[in-house]
Amino acid sequence: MTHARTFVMIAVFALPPAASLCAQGNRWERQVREQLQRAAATLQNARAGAAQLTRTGTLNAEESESFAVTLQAGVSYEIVGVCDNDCTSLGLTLATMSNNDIAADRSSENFPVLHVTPRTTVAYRVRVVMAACQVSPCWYGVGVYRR
Amino acid sequence: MARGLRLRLWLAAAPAACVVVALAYLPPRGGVRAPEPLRLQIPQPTPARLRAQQLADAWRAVEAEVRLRESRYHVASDLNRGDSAEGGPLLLAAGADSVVSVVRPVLRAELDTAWRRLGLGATKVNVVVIVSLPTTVLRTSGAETPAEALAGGASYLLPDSTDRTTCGVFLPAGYLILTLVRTGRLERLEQFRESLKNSLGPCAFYAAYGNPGKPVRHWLANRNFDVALSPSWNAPGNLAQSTWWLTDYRTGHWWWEMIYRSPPSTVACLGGRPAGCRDAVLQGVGYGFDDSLPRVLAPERRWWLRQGLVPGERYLADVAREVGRERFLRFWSSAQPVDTALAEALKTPVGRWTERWERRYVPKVPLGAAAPPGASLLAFLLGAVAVASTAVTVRRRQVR
Repeated sequence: MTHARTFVMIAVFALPPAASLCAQGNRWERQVREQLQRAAATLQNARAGAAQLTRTGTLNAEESESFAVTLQAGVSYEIVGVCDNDCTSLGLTLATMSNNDIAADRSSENFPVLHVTPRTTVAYRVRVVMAACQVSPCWYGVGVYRR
Repeated sequence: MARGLRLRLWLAAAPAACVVVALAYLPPRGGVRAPEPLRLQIPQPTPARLRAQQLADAWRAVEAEVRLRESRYHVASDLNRGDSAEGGPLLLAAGADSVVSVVRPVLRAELDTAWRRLGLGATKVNVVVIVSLPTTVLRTSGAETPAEALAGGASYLLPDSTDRTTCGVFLPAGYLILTLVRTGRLERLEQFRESLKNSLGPCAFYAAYGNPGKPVRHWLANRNFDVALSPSWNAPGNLAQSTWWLTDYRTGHWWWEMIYRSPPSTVACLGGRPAGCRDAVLQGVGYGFDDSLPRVLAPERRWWLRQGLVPGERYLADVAREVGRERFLRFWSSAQPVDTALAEALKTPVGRWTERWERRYVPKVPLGAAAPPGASLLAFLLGAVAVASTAVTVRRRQVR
């Protein structure tokens, strides 16, 4: 998991973005979309599939947002969180719909990555926590990739 | 017979002395009454007028809220197009086409000027300015301006969890805009620019520093954003701008009725007491963090008469200018209690800094007992007469 995160992180911050995304949204939204695109490209190079789901939005500092995603049993997933340049700490948690945490990354500053292989095919809850944001709101993006 | 006469004399003298003392001291001066026979008085509206004003205020607030919420849908596509820095705040001018065609280019240019003066670039929170223009062309120079057009200031639709990136300003067409509509010319350009810049109010703070942290957001909402109404962080204020309503313009003396209408902490701060200044600043801090903050902000009618600090509308802008962007941003988005975060930003106790800030605008108001010299002299003379008469009486007294 650590290697995967390091690999994706290097790619996200080092590779050039895809041009098609640059024209959309404001500069912070573009930053997030570019980072997601880099993460997707990197994961595809690492034999991951296309993003099953991507989601972007805004959060003020200390706010959180959740959304549901259905994951297949026995399949490995990478769930990647990114945020704009004003964000200094982003947390990502995967939980069941009854709020039992399955995986969490709260210590990766602004680039949390979850690596999970669920045992059952059900809907799970992905929770994004904007732990610190210098100028609120901060844009975030979450991508769910199948490996 | 002589004893009876002396007794009557004393009985008459005692009430007479009381009357003299009462004339000198009642109603109590102590800095409360202005010396002029025709002193300035605060107009006291009738209950009917107060009710009418309340209804008008409520109507204006509702209208502003409706217009601001409607505007979100009109401008959603524009907001998604790019950075607001490309053209400053978005402008929506609502009114007759012929009026809009005259006013819009001027307002657009002046808004851009105001935006530049605020030093704002690309902002995460977009500002949308909605100007309500007349639906008919008012060309006659003598035409009476509709009262509802002149009354009331700007109202604001602040960002919340349903839309974190839009701050709306609803701006009624005031005298200068209506004059522009009538004559096609903008009069008193500098005054108009300053007024337009101040109209951006809290939205300018949101644009410059983002959405505030929870403690600051609740503190400001609890006090109706009275300390963030003027985004004047680039221009220091001066004494003349702030004290005109605290003094009698004819004599230059303090207008005590107006001063004592303020909350006790405000009066204490005007009197140079740091504890009072601290209380005036932190008013609204301890109300808890429930999430039911109003999204629409409509400053009260004549808000400057009820403000907790004088001139409170400039307070946070002055803090921002003095401590610099980085420190102010840390305070603005801090998760710490407001008093702690503010003291950290100021690097000084809040009360002491605020007391010094207050002195820039208002000279220290002399509070407490203050017997006027004339009354003091009279009291001294009365005392001397009493002592002298007692001494004379005692000397004449004979014990038989």
